[in-house]
Amino acid sequence: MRIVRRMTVLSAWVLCLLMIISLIGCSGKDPSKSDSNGGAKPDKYYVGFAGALTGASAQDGESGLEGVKLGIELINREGGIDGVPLELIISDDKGDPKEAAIVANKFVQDSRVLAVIGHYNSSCTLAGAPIYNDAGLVEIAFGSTSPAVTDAGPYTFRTVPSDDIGARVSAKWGFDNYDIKKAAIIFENNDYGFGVSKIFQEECQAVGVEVVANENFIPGETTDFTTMLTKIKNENADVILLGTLYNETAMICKQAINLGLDVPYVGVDALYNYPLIELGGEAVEGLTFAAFYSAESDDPVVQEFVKKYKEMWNDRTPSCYSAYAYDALSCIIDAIRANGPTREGIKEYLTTMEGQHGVSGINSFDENGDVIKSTIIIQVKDGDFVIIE
Amino acid sequence: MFLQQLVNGLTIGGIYALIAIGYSLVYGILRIVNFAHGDIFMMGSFFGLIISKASGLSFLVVAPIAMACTGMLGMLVERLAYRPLRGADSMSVLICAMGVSTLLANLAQLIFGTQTHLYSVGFQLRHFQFGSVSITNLQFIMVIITVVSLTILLAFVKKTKFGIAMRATSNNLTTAKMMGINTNIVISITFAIGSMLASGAGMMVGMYYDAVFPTMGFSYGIKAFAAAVLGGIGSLPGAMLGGLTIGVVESLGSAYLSSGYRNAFAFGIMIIVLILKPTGIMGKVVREKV
Repeated sequence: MRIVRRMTVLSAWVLCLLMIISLIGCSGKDPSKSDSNGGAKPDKYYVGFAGALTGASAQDGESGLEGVKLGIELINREGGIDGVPLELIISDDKGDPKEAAIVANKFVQDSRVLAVIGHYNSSCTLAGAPIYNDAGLVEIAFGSTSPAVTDAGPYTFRTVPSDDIGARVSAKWGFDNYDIKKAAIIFENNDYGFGVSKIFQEECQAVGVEVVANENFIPGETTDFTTMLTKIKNENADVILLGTLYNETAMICKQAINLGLDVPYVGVDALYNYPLIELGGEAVEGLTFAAFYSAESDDPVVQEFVKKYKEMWNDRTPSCYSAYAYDALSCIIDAIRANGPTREGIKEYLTTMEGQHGVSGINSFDENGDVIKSTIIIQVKDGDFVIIE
Repeated sequence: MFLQQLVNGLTIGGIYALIAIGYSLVYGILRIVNFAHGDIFMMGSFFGLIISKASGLSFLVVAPIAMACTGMLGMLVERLAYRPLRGADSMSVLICAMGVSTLLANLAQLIFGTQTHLYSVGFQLRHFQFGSVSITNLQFIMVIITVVSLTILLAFVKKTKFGIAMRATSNNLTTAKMMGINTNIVISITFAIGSMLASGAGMMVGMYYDAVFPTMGFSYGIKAFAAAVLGGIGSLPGAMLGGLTIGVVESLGSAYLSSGYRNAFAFGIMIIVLILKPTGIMGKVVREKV
């Protein structure tokens, strides 16, 4: 009994201490809150970054962050926006919609944040969308390709085109180039995966290809794909259509080899990240998808971006997410320049912005905040992403 | 396809069994569920990879070293996290175990990075075709290792003096102490044995899927826990049987019904068995002593 009483007293003290600390924390933030309301120029402009920096899609989020950091570095080297340097506030949503909502709340409550680049995963963007839209804070997603993001709200934009474009072009290319009668689909059990799977099914139906397996898995905690691959092998599928990310794709392709399953893979542009090749090696050779950005493009804007990126990041080649996130930042910078550092001003600018020449194509947002970009076909060849069409 | 799915299920089931033994051993002695066990499994896998990369030695040499390191990690966890709570409310121990689990997973992210690592330990995977069934050499090795280590463990518990001490401690900790058994050492060694088996499982998972990442401990840990409960927690053959059952059921379930409900099959079978036989397949009824 005495121990229990002592524990209670102790925990009461700890609670008191925590409260005091949090009060001090709050009061520390106050001065910075007031400065964006004041008439004088703030000494810094703040932009938020939200994406998966840990978890199953960590490297995609990391690629995006590297692109944004490059953009910040370049603008600050020029002296910032009209003399005011730009600063990034980074939050990790772990690729988890629950965390994404927490991150979104944090950003909308921090009045210094003018706009947010993120989230990466479709499910995270959708989880954050109601919060951003209620508060009137712009989020520009750089990896969320689910068609559901189209209707997420007026403050939700994205520099990555919807899978409604990419997945359709990918599937059509597959049907034109391989002799396909039966197709198998493997997708992640989330908004992104479901969106892609639905489009693939529609496309299969349109050309009379039979879908013999439509298998899904929970990303981040699934390592065993032998069961679904055995099923696909047994059904004699002629192609595997993937609504997955690099991590699981590499595992799927490798496990298929062990089961003696040899079919072509067609995915979507979400696979355009170099860890796919590092992890998949030989097994992902021949994997094809429709994309919008390529580091090999001869567009001088892209070449300049690739060069600067390689200088800053240890000679790494920027993935598509580096490009989309970099473009998201460029749009925000243009918006602050044109309409001043207010959340509403940025939103107004983005809705009317036309033909911003980004590294992932031309960025013009339609009334839903979506972009339409021209597609290319990319295939994994000899350990690299190569433009084949 | 049925045979191939059975092979797939048994392979993954063997892994669950090896991890489940760790849960059962610890529960048998301390009546606590060591929720950090899944993360110890993950650490064991990383130890194998790191030591192999750093030393460049053959994996046959690396594996025992990694297992020993993981065993020490298990002992350390017991010493620092569980021993101070000995005799405390079981809820406190449970929460502490979850804390250790989060700590280990985050520590691994800090040290090894969040990305997936290739399990490049110089093991050459080959696959053989038997009729319609395709089996890799690693799957044979996995089956052999699982069976051998379990046999050794059972013999150890049944035949050796230390095994008798373990069983005595499991039967009644206070009485065992009064009989002159150093129960602290027994408990430490129990954690070490469980962790070593988990480490073996971790390295096999790494090689089989050619991938290891810091958050993989959770899903394996929770499935193995279900396996231990299904087999009758505290029983070693039960843990083995539970692991294989869960592996096969989730494999066949996702093959013939839907792959999206893979976890539902694994936990569903556990729930069904517990309703029919609350002590698990091989669990003994323990009467509460008054």
